[in-house]
Amino acid sequence: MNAIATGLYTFKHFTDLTESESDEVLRGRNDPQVRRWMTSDQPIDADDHHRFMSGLKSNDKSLYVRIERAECFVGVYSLNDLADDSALGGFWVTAYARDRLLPLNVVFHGMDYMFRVQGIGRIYGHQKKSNQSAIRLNALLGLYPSKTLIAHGGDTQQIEITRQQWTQMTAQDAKLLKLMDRMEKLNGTT
Amino acid sequence: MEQLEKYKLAFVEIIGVTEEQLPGLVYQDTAGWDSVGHMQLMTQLEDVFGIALEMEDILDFSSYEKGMDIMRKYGVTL
Repeated sequence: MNAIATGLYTFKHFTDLTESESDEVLRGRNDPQVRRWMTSDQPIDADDHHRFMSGLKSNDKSLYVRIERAECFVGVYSLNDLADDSALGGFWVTAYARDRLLPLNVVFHGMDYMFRVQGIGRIYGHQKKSNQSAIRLNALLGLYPSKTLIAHGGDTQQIEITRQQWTQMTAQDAKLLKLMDRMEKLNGTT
Repeated sequence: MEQLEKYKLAFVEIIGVTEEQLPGLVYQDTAGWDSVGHMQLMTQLEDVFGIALEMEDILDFSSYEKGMDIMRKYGVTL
């Protein structure tokens, strides 16, 4: 499969990346400005990265896509634990996109790709009750708590959204679309 | 409501801080003022004051006080 474009945004599966695209993903992921937001802030070793990328070819439980905006690499959206039309969603946004205030737009388009193009039925994730940034971003994207996870000491909530909720609510939320459109116009198309 | 009060209210509502915390408040200094909060704050200020901020000013809007200087450029009396 080659890259799939929806407007300004292009999606390319990790299994289809060129060596230089894959290297750019590793550099982006290891950027200190990106690592500070990750669960593990340790840089990823190049060999580990290559093993991970190779492993994806025989892994039908995971799907990783590289996202570009106007031909610039802006982030990654991933699905893991794919089962019964549901998956654990994840993402990271490049320093380039963060500097341009595009994280919301990047994550929105990553989720939109998974729902509309890949046809996933439900995306879920976890958020800490104390993480205001995550709670706000998730709420904007329609990801609301479905249960509290006792295993995490009651501090973590499971959040989720179905494809129907996405297409009928989030993707038509006028306030959200206006907010994202503002940033798209400010950033232009180059 | 005076323009300064509207300016402060935007921060209190969007960033989630009290008025007392506003002096010296810097972008990314508090969880509420991350990139998404920043975008929401900018659009709120545009709506409240009926202005359209330039990209340069949105990126330059790095603190509560710096934001006041930028608002004045658009004719907002603070």
